[in-house]
Amino acid sequence: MNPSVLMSAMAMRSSQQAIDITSHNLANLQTTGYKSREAAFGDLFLAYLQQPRQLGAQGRLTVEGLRQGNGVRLAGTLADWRAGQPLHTERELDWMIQGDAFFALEGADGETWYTRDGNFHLSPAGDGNWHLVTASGHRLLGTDGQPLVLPRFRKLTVDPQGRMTIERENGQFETLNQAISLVRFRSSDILESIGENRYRIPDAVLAGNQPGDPPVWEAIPIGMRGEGTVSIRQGYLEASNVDLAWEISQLMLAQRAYQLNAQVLSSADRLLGLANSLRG
Amino acid sequence: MLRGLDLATAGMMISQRWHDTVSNNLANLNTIGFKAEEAVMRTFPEYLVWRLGGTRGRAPQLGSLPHGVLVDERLPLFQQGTPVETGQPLHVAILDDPRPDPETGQMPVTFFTIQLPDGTYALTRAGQWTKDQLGQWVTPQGYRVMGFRQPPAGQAPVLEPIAVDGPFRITPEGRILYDNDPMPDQPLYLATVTVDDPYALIREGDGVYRMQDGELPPPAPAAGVIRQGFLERSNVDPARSMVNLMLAGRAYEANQRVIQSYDKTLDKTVNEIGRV
Repeated sequence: MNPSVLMSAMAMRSSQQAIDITSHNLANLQTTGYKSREAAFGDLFLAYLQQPRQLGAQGRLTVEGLRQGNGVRLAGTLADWRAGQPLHTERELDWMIQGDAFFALEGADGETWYTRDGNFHLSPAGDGNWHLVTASGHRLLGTDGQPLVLPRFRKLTVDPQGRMTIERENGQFETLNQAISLVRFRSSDILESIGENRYRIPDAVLAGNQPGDPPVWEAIPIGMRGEGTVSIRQGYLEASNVDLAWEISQLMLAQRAYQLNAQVLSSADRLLGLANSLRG
Repeated sequence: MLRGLDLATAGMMISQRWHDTVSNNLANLNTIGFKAEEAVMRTFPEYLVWRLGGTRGRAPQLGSLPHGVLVDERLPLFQQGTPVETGQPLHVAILDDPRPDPETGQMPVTFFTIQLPDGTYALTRAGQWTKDQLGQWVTPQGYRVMGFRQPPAGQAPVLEPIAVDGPFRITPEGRILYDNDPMPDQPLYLATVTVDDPYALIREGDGVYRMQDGELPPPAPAAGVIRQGFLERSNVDPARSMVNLMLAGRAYEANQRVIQSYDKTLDKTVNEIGRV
């Protein structure tokens, strides 16, 4: 078989995957709280083909055997966790996290989900109270791990530590017992993206955590929050961290790589045709 | 039998190998830290040809005859790949000193040290990393990136995985600076190894290189060649690769024609001269 055919086919598939990742980033150019991803490739290796021993003697530079590379694969996609630009919205339920933390949300099936997108809305909780929910309807958790409940209010202010003060309709101010839960991960890279800016901890990570290991995540206590570490800014949203110029350049690179490897494929096909027509 | 038939067949086979080498390079056009390979060909050992049935009991020597050609080795080209700035903290590139060693004339190449799943240590040029669930730096394949702490005088450095809390900075010497370093008097460095003869490395997939005897030299701070926020792109040159692809294809075709020509000669020999 002609290995060039397989190698170019794999390279075209990898380039296609890179284009998919880039187009996903470009589609989320305006998604607040979005973190861009990038493709990481690894070269594939088949074997060192055996060669006669006496070849080694004559001025050869590399180790014995003929190294047979076997194309490329997508080794993984890596997230870029750098912060996006702050967007000033002046909306009282738009909160931006400064620092490497996440909001905790009540997910499906009793799971906790995480997000950086601080665009919250009110949802009725009965008795005239309100829950805070994301655009997709998931409730924001407080420091006690339960969904936050807000009484009826006229105005809400959030301080950098994530404590909420409400102004009641009778003009009284009241600081709520529960503050906004902020969670930090030992490594944000383990998070699995489940769409709509939400992340969850994969089951494999929780199952693989040994008793002696450091915890996968930790809630940030109020005392540890503040300027310079982790804080919340009210009236701001975190813009997507996708860099348009960079993504376009990555798109061009991937497209050209695709084209070049399509050329390799047709060249490899020509070789096969020549072999076929040996008895012409 | 016609010896040239074997020669032309060998010619087709090496052209195929050459084509495969170029294909592999082009497939890895966007693989971070990839080093292009070049197919090195050589003739088979030549044979001395003697004429049979010579006079005075000794066959006269006709001369030597090459007996084909083969791809001997695939030589990695360790030229510097273009560093491209990404600004990401876990993107690290090595910029080698472009000057050869004044005494030996060799170009030493510096590598990062990684730990493979079986516990052995290997080398890589790819500095595109992420963090695993323990917060340790790993390659996209999950191989741990190794560091070491500068030991007190007289002690040997010990390789350890790197796990750093919070923001950090990597100096050109590979020193990792971060807040709340538990051992500030024993600075943490990226474990880099400078290899004088990189051709002697065994090259595996995913940008992994192994030492032939498996033993790594002791790690040392890199000589000012580490750049944080950069990635070293593949050093494959697409223009040159396309030219090589065309050359390999045409060489294959030319040898195919030679075989066809020999076939015609044989056809004449068998079917026309031998006609009774």
